[in-house]
Amino acid sequence: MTTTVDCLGLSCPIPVVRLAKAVAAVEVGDVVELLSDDPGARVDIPVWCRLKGQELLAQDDRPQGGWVFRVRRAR
Amino acid sequence: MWQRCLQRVNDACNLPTPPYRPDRGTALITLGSHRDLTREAVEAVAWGGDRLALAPVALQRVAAGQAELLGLLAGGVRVYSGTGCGCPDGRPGPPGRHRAARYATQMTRMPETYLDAASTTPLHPRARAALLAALDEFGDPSRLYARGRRARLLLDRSRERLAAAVGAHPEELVLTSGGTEAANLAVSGVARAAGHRRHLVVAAVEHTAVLAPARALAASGFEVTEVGVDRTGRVDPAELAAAVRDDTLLVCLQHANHEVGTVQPVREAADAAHDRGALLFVDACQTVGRLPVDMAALGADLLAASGHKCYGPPGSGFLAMGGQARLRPVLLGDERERRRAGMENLPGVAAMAAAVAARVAEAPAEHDRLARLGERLRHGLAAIPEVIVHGHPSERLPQLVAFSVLYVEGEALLLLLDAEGIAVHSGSSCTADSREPSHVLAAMGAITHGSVRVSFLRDATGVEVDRLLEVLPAAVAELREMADLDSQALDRATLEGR
Repeated sequence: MTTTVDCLGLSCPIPVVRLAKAVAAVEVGDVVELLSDDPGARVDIPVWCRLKGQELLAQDDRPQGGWVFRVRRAR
Repeated sequence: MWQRCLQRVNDACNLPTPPYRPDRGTALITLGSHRDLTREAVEAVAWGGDRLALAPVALQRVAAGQAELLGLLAGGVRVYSGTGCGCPDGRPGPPGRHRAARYATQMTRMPETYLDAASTTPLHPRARAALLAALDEFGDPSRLYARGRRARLLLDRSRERLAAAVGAHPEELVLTSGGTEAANLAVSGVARAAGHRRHLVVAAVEHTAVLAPARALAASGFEVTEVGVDRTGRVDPAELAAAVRDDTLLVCLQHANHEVGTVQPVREAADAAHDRGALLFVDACQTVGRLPVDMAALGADLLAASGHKCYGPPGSGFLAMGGQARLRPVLLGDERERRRAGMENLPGVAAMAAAVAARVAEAPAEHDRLARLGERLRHGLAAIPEVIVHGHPSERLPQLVAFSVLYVEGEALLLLLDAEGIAVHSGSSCTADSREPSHVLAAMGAITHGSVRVSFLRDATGVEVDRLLEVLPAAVAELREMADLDSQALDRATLEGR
């Protein structure tokens, strides 16, 4: 199951806050898809995943600008 | 009119809970509100609204925020705390006691706790005396009459003191307008004198005064290799050595990092550079007057220092050069400094020399006290949830502590602390103007949001640490509450797991 969190137009740390909340709300094994165009998120989302032991499956450029992060709740 | 405007704010915001709630007649402009809309919302309220809930962070986003907010307050608009307004029942914070109001009205009255010595420092008493004495001693050091010779004497004496402080020869010291000019001169000036060597090596965590001229050279035919750092912000000497080539002209490695305080393996970098016939430039703006700085011991061929970071006046700095270094001036004109045209800033130079000489003599006795204050702060930070301390555990500046507070906006925290009279620096730049995260923290693979840099002045006693630790936990809790980061709503295992 995939939950999408749209943080386009929002500055850090909101994308990280929203991701933390979304990951906490899904079951282990589920995926959260985060949309962000904040340059800070590009650095902070992978670091957050590493710090929290969550799995960053992918980080892709969006054609419209920004990125899509796919994070699987690992624990 | 104001309602229509606020409705427009809502429409553009793309937030599940829009800032303007017509049923309450209140606009909550807070963390995460759309970047460009705060000013519009404030204007809307100014046109006829009577209530505005304004988070401290929003203040930062309003370009002329202070003036407009003061205008609102003067006009009788009640400003509420973001805390409370975000609650489901919409209960407002206590009117008139809002932090933003205090921020706007008490900007100059609060007793100050200055914790940003790494940005700039007050004048050392000896620097002040030297500056005042030199201000009245006008004269062109390049002229041959008595007044000119007196100026030349003061200039030479100052140059000798500066050279002695870093183990350089006085003739090899170029006086500049500050650390930035010295770094620019080192990078660009050496490149201008380059022969067949067209390659530079720079650490990814260098100050922008080094990175920007290096990148400009990369755009004009030079090749630039950026060497990364580990999680503590330290360059791996082996990785740096591997980046140096036979055609490398210059290796740039700071003595200590300006954002996280990590001391770099400069001596090893010097050996790697010299093995291939390259020069080493050391940006020592953060270390002169704090740690021992000696050109020969560091192996530096060029070394930059800043006056105002070392208890001297702004507008003063120098570039020291070893015998091997050759450069051509960037600032062209007369030949006064031989490598930099223009009349010397004699009062600034005299004051900088007095400051640097005093600091080099005083710093060793202060080292342990400042390091203990740093330890005390680190210990206190460990009690605040989700705070990550940056930098190297042992190879670091004694007076600097850098950390990131997860889930909190750095500028918002800075402004809350400022409302309590505490001045710290936030390394993150998530403002409307510059949204790029700190290149230093990014290179370290560290969290860039919520970053705070605390750096003590030379006479710090511990009162400053206590004051910060008294205020910080509540400020962090307030901002997390504003971000609706209710601990009960979150899986604590996820939030606090490591």
